[in-house]
Amino acid sequence: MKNDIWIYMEAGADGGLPVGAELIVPAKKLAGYYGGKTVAVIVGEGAKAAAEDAIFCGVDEALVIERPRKAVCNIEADANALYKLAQKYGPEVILAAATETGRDLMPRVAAKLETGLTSDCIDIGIDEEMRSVAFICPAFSGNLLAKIICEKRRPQMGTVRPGVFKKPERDEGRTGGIICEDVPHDMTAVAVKIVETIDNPEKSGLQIEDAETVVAGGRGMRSAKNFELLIELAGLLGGAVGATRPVADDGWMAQEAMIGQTGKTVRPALYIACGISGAAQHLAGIPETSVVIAINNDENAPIFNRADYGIVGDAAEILQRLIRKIKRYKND
Amino acid sequence: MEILVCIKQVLTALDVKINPETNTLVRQSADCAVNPYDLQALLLAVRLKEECGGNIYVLSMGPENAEMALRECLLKGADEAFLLSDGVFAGADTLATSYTLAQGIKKIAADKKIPMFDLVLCGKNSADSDTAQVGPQLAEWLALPQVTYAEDVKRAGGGLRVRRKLTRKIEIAEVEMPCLVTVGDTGLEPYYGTIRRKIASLEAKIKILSVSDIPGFDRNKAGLSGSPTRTKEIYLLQKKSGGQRISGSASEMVERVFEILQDSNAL
Repeated sequence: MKNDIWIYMEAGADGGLPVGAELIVPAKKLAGYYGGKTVAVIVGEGAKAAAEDAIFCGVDEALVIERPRKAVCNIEADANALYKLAQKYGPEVILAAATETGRDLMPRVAAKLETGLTSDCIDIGIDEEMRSVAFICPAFSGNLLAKIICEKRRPQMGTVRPGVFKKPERDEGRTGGIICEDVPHDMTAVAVKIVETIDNPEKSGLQIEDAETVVAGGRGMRSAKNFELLIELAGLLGGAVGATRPVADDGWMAQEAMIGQTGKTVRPALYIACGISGAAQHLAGIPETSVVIAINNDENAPIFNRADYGIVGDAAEILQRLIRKIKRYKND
Repeated sequence: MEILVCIKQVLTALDVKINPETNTLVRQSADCAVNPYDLQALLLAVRLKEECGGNIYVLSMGPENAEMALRECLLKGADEAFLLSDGVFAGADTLATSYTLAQGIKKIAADKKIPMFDLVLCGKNSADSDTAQVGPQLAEWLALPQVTYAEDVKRAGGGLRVRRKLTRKIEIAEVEMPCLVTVGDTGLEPYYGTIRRKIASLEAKIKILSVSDIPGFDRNKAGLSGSPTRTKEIYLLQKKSGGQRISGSASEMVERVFEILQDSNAL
């Protein structure tokens, strides 16, 4: 197992794809370079079922520890499990999605293994010169990108921002081995108990991370009321609405709609930026591959450096006209 | 409650400059401040102290000018401040930083004749490195349970009740002490201190801890030698130059946008 690339996954909600499945693509690239296998490592309730899904998504093998999930916070127990497995098998790389769980668990495992961890990556490559993985992550509130390497110690660990890589296709024809492991942990000694969970009431409808089209607004929309235009346009295009940080902080849009370094990463095919100046922290949430149409009153706004199509004008006015035009077209 | 808050002095300049020869940030002391989330952690500590009594200690690892950040914390409610400062600590990544902080915390606790602080607090991430790793790694070195993304912490029975703000939900967790909690936005009113506190903070003696002050400190686990990761390259986000400018009257521009939407099958 020495050259293997591990992906720490979690059983997905509602029988969906396991969390972390999108890391199979970059993992395969690394496996090719190191001459190893891709391995899904899953700990918890429903681990075996999630492992089957992971194999259908393309991993070569899966390692599972099936454990009942109690109303306790499993971070320490799961970190201990991943640590013991890593000690036993000695993988080259361990990747995980930078979900709240991943961000809680991976640092503890890295500390136990006294190895290097790079968090919240927006890209993973290979540094040929150092024969190491190149972990690319934002720094300085998104103003900079850093290439981090873990030159000597192994495994090389990294967490990847959700949404950066595309979810893989499931193919039930794929096969691969599933190894069942067990790492005993005294669950009665768990110090953290979850006593209540309150689901975010605003979470409904299209998740912005999955939208093919995103219509986003910034201060240049001039008022909270004008955001109704964005909602209307998004509705006509079957997309989702996003916002910049200043606008979310002022309550013009929900925090959950905020796109950027300290908010969501989106991967739409089309991104319409309305009244957005184009601060680096915001652009950090949009991949280079998205086609960006920008509307801004200020011809020197940095967004025009990123936009594929730029319009200098009042966003609210342009949107009103555009909405009228689209409605006429749809009614014909 | 004996509370220790870890703080970091961070760069705040939004206008970031890179030294083209060394690929490192150009740091100027004028642009430094206490990491915003660490201040949130301090606010929570102050409120817990008001409710339960006890002491608040602040600790930072940094060069000597990090004293400024510590004095700001003394002004804003901390009782005593410590600075881990030694050439050996320089160049540390999160693993080496958390190791060094852990040794400092153990030393301060020993000097206070307690086995460990009831609560170790830190901000959930720093404004400059953004890794959010030091909190959990510090918890690991100290063998403490951790609760992250806290927006509120209260005493509950023999332990703490922590309200966590997560992406899709709020979680209420109960944790035994001693423990480590990382803090996000608390929504608490900022506390600016008093004139008397200001004078006291300027006169206070900040204890500087170097390697020789900490028995059993393993130099190989600190600074550059203790850092498995390093930054190979640092660069500004790619700026595309140009793209198409759409011009004309408002209706002409809208016409063009409509065409683009049609072509990309967005309609």
